[in-house]
Amino acid sequence: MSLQATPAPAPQRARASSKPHEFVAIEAPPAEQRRARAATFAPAGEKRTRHHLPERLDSASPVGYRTRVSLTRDEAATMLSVLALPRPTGFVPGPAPRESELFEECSLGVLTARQSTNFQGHRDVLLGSDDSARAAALLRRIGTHGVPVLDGAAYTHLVLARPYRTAFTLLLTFVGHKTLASLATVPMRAWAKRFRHADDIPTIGYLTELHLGVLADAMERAAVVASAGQRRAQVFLRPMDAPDDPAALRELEALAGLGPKERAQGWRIGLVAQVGYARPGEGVAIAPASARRLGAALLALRSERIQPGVNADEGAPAAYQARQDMNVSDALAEQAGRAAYNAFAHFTGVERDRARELLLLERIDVLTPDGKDRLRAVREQLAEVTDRVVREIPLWADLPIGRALSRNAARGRKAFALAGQRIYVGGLSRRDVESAGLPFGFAVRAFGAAAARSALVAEVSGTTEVPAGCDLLAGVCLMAGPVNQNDIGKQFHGAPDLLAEAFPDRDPTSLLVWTLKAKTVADPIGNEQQLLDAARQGALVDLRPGPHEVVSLRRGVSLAPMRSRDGRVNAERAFGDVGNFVTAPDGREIAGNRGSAWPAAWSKEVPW
Amino acid sequence: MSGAGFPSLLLAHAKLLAARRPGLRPGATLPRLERSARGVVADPSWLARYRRVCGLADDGALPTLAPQLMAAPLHLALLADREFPIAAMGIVHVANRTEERTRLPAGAALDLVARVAGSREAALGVEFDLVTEATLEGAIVWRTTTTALARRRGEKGGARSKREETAAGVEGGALRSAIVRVAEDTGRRYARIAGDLNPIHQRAWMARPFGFRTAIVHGTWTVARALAECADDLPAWPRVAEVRFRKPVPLPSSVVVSAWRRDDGALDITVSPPKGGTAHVEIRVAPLRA
Repeated sequence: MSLQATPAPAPQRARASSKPHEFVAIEAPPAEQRRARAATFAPAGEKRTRHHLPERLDSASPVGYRTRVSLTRDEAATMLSVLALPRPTGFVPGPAPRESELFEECSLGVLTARQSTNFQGHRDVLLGSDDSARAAALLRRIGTHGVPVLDGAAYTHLVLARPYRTAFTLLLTFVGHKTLASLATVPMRAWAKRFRHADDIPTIGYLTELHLGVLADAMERAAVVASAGQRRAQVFLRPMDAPDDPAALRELEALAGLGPKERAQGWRIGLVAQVGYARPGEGVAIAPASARRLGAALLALRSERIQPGVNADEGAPAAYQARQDMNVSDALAEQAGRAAYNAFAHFTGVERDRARELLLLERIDVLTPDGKDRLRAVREQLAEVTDRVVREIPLWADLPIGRALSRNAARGRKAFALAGQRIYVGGLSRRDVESAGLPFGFAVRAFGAAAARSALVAEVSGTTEVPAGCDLLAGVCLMAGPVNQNDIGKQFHGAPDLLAEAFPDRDPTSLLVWTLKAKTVADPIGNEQQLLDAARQGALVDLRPGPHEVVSLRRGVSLAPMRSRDGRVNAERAFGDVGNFVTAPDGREIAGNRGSAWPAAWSKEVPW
Repeated sequence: MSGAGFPSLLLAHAKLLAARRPGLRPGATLPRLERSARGVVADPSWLARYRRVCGLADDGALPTLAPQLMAAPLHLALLADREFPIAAMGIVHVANRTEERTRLPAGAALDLVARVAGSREAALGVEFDLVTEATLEGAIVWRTTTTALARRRGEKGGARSKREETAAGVEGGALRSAIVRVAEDTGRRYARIAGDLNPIHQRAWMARPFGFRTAIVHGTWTVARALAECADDLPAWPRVAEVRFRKPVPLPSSVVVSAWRRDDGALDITVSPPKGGTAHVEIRVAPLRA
């Protein structure tokens, strides 16, 4: 099946230009300070901890437990160029995609884009070329605010999103009440949350938007990497809450299988991504082998919370206990900031200089005296909120469940710990964003994309030319937790915003914090297994869905889950041919970790 | 299934239950029994159900063990023969050797022959072989030797250590390593397709009188599921699959299917418990050399 070529319309608005990203090398520490994780299986009879290797992985996720892929400089340069691509101006005909291609693209997109949450808040419905043409017509009727709808898409992703709800948001129901009034106000707030999708604090509502932004950025990249540069994605990230033609939106929702029941649960179309073959000059020249390695490298990126010698557990192995003479250079911190501005301009369509004004980024250089003081002040501000939350949780709710609420609240101290050589606190000013003509929710989405791309630029440097004996050279932890903690203080106790000191006249709303850590030892993966074990959920790590759980393919009038067939579900690890799986030092592997490729007879099928 | 000379499954099961079997005395030999059927074709809906229960993708070929199931009525007829001295209930499948001399199309009309091929003394009783051959257009295209163990009363195996020494994880360099969930009803679903109504595969309470704490899945299902997982890595035809059944797979459970390529082109597959220890099944699929 081939696709019809259609001339692309002229862009309706001048493209926001991106500044090119420059590769910045991270200097490895002296040989005697180089350390790697080298985790082993727990010896027989010894209690297993998070620092041991998990014994097995029973998961339909395409990720598995991976080691970083050490990129070459050329591969790093290719990845950085992908991160600064302008929007495509049109698509050309190409072969209909095979099932395996869709799987790999989704693996780099909706199946992994949100690495640090245990909430499955997205669904992805894939439309074939005929339905894509229908969707394109509907998008034009809905209105895309200057972002051109392209003809000739090979397929289209309709991403559904719902409000963020986890154990943490359950806990928030009990926060910020007056002692006696809580008997009435807690149930009232719980009701509003359940049936009106109201949020306890605004930054929880923003999480849905931030996650969509993170996903949008990942989907653009996924289309390029999964096709070795042949395909491009046109992503529509602006919320569709005020469509020009509401009937068209309803039709688009129907294509995504979104009915009254799902709407009542809070599901909405979050973003749309058209994917098609790149016009001449708009593709990216990536050798197939490099594309495989880049795909595997992206799947291996994980949140890095531990800075050796700073915030490791007392019981952690020696590799985590000693500081390393490493730094995230000014040049890399600047590139991370540049990536954020690029992405914000790219997704909102504002000029890059305007993006620099709108995006509020406070950089804390932890290794400087001023940075140390600032970090201490932020930590104290957050700790004060935590103390108050723990103190004020209604006893009538906390005592009957063995003080589980207050214990969970206290855990935030560790989970949201700020450690790293450079820390970005980022946010927006609603007033300034709206005066620039951007709906605040849209700007928050673009902020999510900006933060994710900023983090990825640092991660690319942190995984390029990794010397022997090291897991990586730098990692990133992107967190909303400290911001949520700060928001509790803002909403209920009159505390200032985290960015108020850096941007006193802008009435800022902080949205995310990301910590950049130069180090050579990767975090343990033990708590991920804890999460994969349904009986031991609870930590803030991704549950990593399988494709059949969140991705559907529309064929005719029905939706079929991806990779659920004849009693089998996916066990393939995407880009697994690169072989970057965690092993014990003696070479033994985690049972089930390597996975098993989906049968070729099925993966070679052309779904549409 | 369609074909000439097919015995009735129901009749064979009735005979298996009704007849009293003296067992094989030490030193005695099994009678030379044989059954055959001509032009046996796998019914497409049966084949689709077989593929579904075993997780096999439809690649247009007859799956490795499908002819064995197609010949199941012949096997039952042999075991139900009044001259066959061993009671079918309680025999344990210990090994299988299947030669696939060519790729068989799904619709092939096979002439099937099954025969009792000999016996030998084993530590726990007596082992005997059933040989099944499939002929297509005058040439033997598929052949399997099924080895089963009939325990003698009073025979006990060698002393077992109280606790297995288990190494966590799986051997490095695997091509595949996947956890496969085996649902509680797998034995019942497979039994309907295989025509093997042995109670040990049905429900826990039916398996307990035979010494099992839970029902166990059929060995041929375990092998078919493992081959399905590794279908794209199997050596090309002609090939031979040698299988050792080490311990049964309880229902329900999860197993780890892992595969390694060896230097001679063979594929080694193990089906193991997730916590390590003795494998349930070991399979080697190798190119069949003349």
